[in-house]
Amino acid sequence: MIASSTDGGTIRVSSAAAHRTGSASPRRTVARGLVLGALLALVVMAAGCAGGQPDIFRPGGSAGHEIKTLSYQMFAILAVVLITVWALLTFVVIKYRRRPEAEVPQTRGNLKVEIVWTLIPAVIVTVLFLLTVRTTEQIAMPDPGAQFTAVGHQWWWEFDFPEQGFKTANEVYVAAGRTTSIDVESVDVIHSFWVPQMGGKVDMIPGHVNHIHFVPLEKGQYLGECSEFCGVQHGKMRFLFVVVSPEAYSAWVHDQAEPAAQPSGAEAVAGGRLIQTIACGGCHTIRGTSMKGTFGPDLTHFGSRRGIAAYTLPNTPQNLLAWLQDPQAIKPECTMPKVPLPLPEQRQLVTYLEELQ
Amino acid sequence: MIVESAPIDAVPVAERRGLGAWLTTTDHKRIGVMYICTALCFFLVAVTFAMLMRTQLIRPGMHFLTPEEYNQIFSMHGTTMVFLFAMPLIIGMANYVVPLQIGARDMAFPRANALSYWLLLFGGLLLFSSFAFGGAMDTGWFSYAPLTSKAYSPHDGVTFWTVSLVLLGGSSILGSINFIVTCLRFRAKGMRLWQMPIFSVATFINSFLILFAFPSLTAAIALLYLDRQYGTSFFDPAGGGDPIIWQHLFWFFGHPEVYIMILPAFGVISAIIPAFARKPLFGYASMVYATASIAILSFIVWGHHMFTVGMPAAGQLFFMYATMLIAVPTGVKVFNWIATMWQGSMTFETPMLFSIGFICLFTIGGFSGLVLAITPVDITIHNTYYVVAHFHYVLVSGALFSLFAGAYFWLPKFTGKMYSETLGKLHFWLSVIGFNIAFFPQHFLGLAGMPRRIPDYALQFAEWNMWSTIGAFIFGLSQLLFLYNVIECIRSNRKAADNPWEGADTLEWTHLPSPAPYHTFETAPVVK
Repeated sequence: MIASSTDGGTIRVSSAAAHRTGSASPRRTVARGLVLGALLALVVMAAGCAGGQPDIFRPGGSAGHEIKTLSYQMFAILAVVLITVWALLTFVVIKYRRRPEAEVPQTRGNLKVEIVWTLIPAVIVTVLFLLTVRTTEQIAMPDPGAQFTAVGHQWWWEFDFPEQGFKTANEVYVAAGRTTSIDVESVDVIHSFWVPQMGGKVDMIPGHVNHIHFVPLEKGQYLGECSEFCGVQHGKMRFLFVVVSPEAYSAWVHDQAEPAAQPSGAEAVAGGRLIQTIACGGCHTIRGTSMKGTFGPDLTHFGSRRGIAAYTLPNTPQNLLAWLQDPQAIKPECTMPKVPLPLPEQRQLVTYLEELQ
Repeated sequence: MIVESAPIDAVPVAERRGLGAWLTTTDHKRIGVMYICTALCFFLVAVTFAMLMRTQLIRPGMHFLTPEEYNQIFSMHGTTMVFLFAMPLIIGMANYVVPLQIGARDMAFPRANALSYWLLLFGGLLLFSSFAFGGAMDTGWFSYAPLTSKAYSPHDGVTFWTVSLVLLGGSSILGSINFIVTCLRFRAKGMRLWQMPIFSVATFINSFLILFAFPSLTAAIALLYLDRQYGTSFFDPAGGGDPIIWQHLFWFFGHPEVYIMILPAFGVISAIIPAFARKPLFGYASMVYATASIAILSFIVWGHHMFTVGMPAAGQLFFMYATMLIAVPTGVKVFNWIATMWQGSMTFETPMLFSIGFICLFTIGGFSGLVLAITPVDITIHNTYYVVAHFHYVLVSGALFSLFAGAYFWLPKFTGKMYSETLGKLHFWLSVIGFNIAFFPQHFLGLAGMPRRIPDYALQFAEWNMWSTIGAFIFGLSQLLFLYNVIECIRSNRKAADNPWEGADTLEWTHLPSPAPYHTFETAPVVK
């Protein structure tokens, strides 16, 4: 047993240990496997890019575009490095298979080479860092001050427009081309405000007021999601983020600020009377009626919303009826109780609520 | 390095057999075996949890699990994998191998070593017993306050988790002190500290990580326990507390924890590649520096988990650059491994296959980590499936693959038998294929905006989720092959040579029979 005593860690042995054959098949298998793996990865990547679904790389907001560019720069640089490493590895695995021991140099290192490949990644990450700093400066924009506050609840969203004097829930409109500025808060646990196609997210933390602002560019309806695990129904905490023209936005704000519409038709009128006599007002507000609860979503313009149960079901009379009959079946552990009324009265409530445009 | 043998004056201890002997053992090899077996049992459970989750996610809709069940299962999957599988398996292997590699008779504190094991076992059993007392913790492995408070998690799952984690943390801290003292004081005569084999070096450095990181977790858990059981308000804003404190305390532990799982894995790879390339490790010194740099950097990057909590720009830039710098020592390691193979004489037995698979796939995990370090990109993909994909590339194709490599590598030494090379290779290829089908599509899901930790999802995510589930089942089932392979190896009559690997040159191979005898060294190795 002889080896250098200056290098650490290795105790070389040239004993006649059990001989293991490096037969041809495993080598080829490895090489083939590496090539196949690389091809598979490329195919999968291509397929991923070709998918027609909306994603954060089809941004509808201002920051999204810069982030997309930055991400592409990152992916390009890293792909080059990754492919270089894989190519090196493939070459080594194919070239330096089992061969006579005499040809194997017992190198233990090379200081110059090691310094070079310490510097290479250091330079790469510094370039990436500087690219990021530049993008961060590009994204930075003047903040006009919050237009509304988004409040996280287990498991729904409240949007509070204090200047216009209304609150709404699970669906919010903003004006395309104008800076949208939002304060976010939470009344219970940590939630996170996120509309994927608008760019970044910001956590809603009890005891803190956080802030996000960006410019929505493309008109359309975007899915918003809670992105911090917040308990049993975290998966069913969504909202609809609607980007419309500035005129349509003003109209929406005007409509939302109005008190609730008067019911028309016998069933709706009966429903409107009924809802104020049972327990609904303990949690819900309908402006223009006696209902002033603040624990649950404001229902003043409930009929105008496209979804119920935090945008997890389409807002149809059937779904609303099912929701009133047994919310726990649809969203277990949510705070909405059953409405234990005979079917005709439940239908009156549904008709009334759907008329609250 | 020349190793000679010197006679020792200790009287060999007779081997005791039977259940009683195992239950009361303080022998580092037996404790190592018990650690490994316990870890594998928990692995089976945690893999089963993963299969349940993927079954729920195979298509949209609540068709298999309730949200309550799903939340318990994903929380326990992560907690079990981190605390009851990865760490015990690493510590078990180190327990068995490190004293042999450095020529020590046993660990420095054999009884404390046994205590570490029993704390782990009962900590784990306590955690799982919560299923019988109203349900397990369902708040995720990092369990952000105030979701863990009595108000939002009234059942006792979280309490069980806190007590269990204190036990597991105690076990790890005790173990880390034991390894540090063993490496400092119990090396063979003449072996300098930075002459230790690279796996022992990794374990040594890693022990400092455990020693400095776990107290932060234990402190956070203690505060949470007080909040829950005694009505204090450390994390409750209503009483003047702040939920962000939990995040700082947790991630000050949580990020080093990732490296606690990955540094020994690097050590395993650095031990295996020279053995199968029949060349010494390239750049031992730079490997040690790289390991130490990663260990130090890991303590100043925790903020990258918190970019979305409302962090000032200066903080974001600091944590971003510190995080990206970790790529430098990691890059050095990858280049050194390739340089070790360069001009070598390689054969591709299962340990080597897993090592090469590790380098290929871990690199993807490293790069997706770099992408996540970029603050403006992170705030878009934070808490999405992109993150899930990232850390599975780091912890499965990184830590787990190297642990498999290490398991196959040392199995002949642990058992005295050779495993089946055919089954080993089958296990490798099925794992690689299943793993990539399961986790590569999750990058796309994340980029498309699918949040993590949801039992049901929007229709647009359906296709990649189906593929992910198929891959997960291939991967999960192929792990049964691993367990079968280990059992078959133990029961076979393929006697392993003392050193079945031509290029392996550390003491456990050159100085000891397979399996390592109960009384390890008949003569003391002396390094000249």
